[in-house]
Amino acid sequence: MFALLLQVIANGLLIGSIYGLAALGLTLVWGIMDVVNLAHGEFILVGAYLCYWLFAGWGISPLVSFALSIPLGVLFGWLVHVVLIRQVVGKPALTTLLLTFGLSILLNNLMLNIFTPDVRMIRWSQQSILVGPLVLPSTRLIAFGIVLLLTAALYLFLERTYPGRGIRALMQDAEAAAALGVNTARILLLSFVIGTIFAVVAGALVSVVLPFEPASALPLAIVAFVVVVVGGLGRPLGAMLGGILVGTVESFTGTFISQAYAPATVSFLLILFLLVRPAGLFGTTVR
Amino acid sequence: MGAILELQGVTKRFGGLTAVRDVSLAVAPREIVGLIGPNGAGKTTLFNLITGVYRPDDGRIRFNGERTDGLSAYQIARRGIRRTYQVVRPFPEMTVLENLMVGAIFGTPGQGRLLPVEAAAQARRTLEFLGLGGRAETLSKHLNLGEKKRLELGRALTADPALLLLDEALAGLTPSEIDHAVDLISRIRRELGKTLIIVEHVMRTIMKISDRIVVLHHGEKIADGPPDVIARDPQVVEAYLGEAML
Amino acid sequence: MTLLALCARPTPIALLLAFAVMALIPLARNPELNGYFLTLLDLMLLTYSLNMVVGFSGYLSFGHIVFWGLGGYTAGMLVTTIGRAIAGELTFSPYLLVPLGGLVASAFAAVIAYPILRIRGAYFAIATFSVNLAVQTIFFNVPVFGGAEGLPLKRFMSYQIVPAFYWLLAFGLLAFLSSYLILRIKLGYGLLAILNDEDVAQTMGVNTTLYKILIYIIAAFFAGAGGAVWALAQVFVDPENFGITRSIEMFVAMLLGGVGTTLGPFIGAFIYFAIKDLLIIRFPHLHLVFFGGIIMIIVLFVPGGLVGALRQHVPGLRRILE
Ligand SMILES: Nc1ncnc2c1ncn2[C@@H]1O[C@H](COP(=O)(O)OP(=O)(O)OP(=O)(O)O)[C@@H](O)[C@H]1O
Ligand SMILES: [Mg+2]
Repeated sequence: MFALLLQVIANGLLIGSIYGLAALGLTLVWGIMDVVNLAHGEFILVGAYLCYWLFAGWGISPLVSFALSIPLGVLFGWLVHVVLIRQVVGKPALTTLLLTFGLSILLNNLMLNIFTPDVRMIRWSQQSILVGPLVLPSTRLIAFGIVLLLTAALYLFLERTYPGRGIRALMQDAEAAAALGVNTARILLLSFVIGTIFAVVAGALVSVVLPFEPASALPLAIVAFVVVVVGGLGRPLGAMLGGILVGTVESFTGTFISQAYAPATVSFLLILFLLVRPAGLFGTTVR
Repeated sequence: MGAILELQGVTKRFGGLTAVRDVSLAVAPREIVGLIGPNGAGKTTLFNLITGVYRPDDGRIRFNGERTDGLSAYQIARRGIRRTYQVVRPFPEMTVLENLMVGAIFGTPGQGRLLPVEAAAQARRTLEFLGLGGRAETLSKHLNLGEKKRLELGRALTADPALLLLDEALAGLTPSEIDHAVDLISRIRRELGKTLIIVEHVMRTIMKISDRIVVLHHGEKIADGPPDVIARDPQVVEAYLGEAML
Repeated sequence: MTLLALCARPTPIALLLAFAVMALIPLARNPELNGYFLTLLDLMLLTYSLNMVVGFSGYLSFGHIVFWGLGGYTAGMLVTTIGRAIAGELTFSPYLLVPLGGLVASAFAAVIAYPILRIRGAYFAIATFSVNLAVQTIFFNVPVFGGAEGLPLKRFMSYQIVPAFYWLLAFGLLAFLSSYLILRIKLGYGLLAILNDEDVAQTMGVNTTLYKILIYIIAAFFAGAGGAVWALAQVFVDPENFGITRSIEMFVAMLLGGVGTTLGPFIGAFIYFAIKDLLIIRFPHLHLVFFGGIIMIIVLFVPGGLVGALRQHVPGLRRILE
């Protein structure tokens, strides 16, 4: 029983860290731009399908795809920001939500047409590492390592670089940041691009550890939203911890209740959190 | 005659900051009270406490003898208090007339509810009173600042409240608009019999229209009395040091 | 009496006429035509329901289809339960159960309204997605509701499209009239105030909580009734009744017609089908891709939809189109 419990927690941690990465992208964009990207689930799937397509079609190793997903994220994020998001920054929530809802429909149905509704999963490496009673699949460990790497990179970027500090300033107080000479337009573009990179890379990692299909976009997006709410809006560290928590809860439900209810649990968790702790587990400000 | 509004030891804290500290205040019916104080003194917060946007951490608020702290904002409004906003907040996607109709439909304590048809007539009367008659069908987001402020005043007035709280209703207006607004305010008291609390930074104006001045500083009430006395109060002068007083 | 007087204006008169003309459609005895308009009316009713929440109060109810699905399952469960009890086909018209579908949806709305409507903006929008997903998961997995297979009803009733058509027509008309009246009574003005600025609405004396709950319950009734008719018309209901496609369709129709207007859902449903028919001929599988794009174009360039654009650019129509 104890070994099982440990295993469930380990599974939750490994999958949850990927959720955390996906949520990082969302929380950055939401916190800085006040734009809630309802197409975030589709953004994640862009990375997943890239990885799948290169692997299934060309035999290219997912490790290469992980690297490729970064420039893809840059390009995709830049395009979407310039064409769409830029027009609605600062507009009411109704506008931004409906716009990104439209985008999610467009992307999702494109994926349905290109990749069919079939469930996909990359069977890449089937090896596992045994640590005591624990079975740790190597793909999940690699994914976990990449998550840690990217999170550290983001942290250094926000703390040490000039544009990174601009992002943090904007996250705290838009007006003050503008007064201090932060180039708001550039920072907004940068934030959206970073947010997109994180979503796309998270998707690439999803493709080697979880089955996915175009219909996964909504559950994935909801997971990311839950993580943001749990971790507190605009808090990168909170997103990572929240991701792990959500992953663990999902893992527990999947093991001890039924895999079928895992997505519903996450939904329930979201509603619960919005009601009792709208500022998140780790947040202190009230929305 | 008892006070229409009575505050006893009202305190409001935001985290470590005490925005309003132990403020007591009584306002008589048909009185015009000028509420002044430097930036961040707690004037707007006091309005938010009276209207139920915030609940006081300490102290009591009575309106017409009834405890209102603890009631929700809409319940307090229904007892006959309306306000305007320092940063104007008309309903942007509604016409001027519709804005005022909302005031009338959800106002008139004691008169029972007003059907929208009746509310429209009432709203038009108020628009004439305010000199906004020609703008009735304009979407309120298209008004200029002076018009928006009058619109807010009108939206509050159509509700026929006993107490009106005006938060910097004159700020940002042109001199002629200010004269017009000052005239309106005295007519609101004289012709409509309202009680008013007015927050204002333009000293000359506030001293002229108020029966009494209350001064807040760092959340505390530091003076309360007739305008001419307040103008000479050393504590008040000190609080305003560095700012032009008159 | 006053209510009648309120309806003596161009928009309600035109729509009453339009509904009257549509009532003649089944006389053509063309099953294909009936089926087409059944789908259209279903979408129109759903759009009216959605518009009451989104267009009147400004709350983005993305999971609105949950009420439609619940209405359908209510009808399905009642038909199978009664059918099993009497061991055969229902002895009365199953469409008499339609109002119950609406009531169950309303009851569900009433239960979730208080907690969920305390949440605003994006948080509310996402919470409604979650409710939708959670409910769908339950219906997918609980055997009583037929699980993934759903509930086939044909043992207990026969396939009748014409009554379904008239039920939807009646509820569509009722939904329009309700929308039209709501905007003219206290409730409507309160909702409009909430849509514009909820905090200000409160200090103006609007009981915002009550009003939001009321409109949510009313809207759920129409969606639930529509879902019930649909389930009976299909003689079948399954977890796909909580699916995303109709969610998308009703948003497109609402935005095309003009969000927040009473004419919008009517016109929007027609435009939606016109566009869809065009697209399906040329791009059989891509029409939803285009509709995603259409949503974005409307949001960016014509946020008022057709009715809003006409009202804005043709001054003479401002008083006529509502
Ligand atoms: N919601 C809030 N959360 C945190 N602090 C607040 C909040 N509202 C007001 N404050 C703080 O309380 C203090 C009093 O603010 P308030 O707006 O009441 O001042 P004021 O007298 O109206 O100033 P001004 O003349 O600039 O309008 C300020 O320091 C302000 O920053
Ligand atoms: Mg102020």
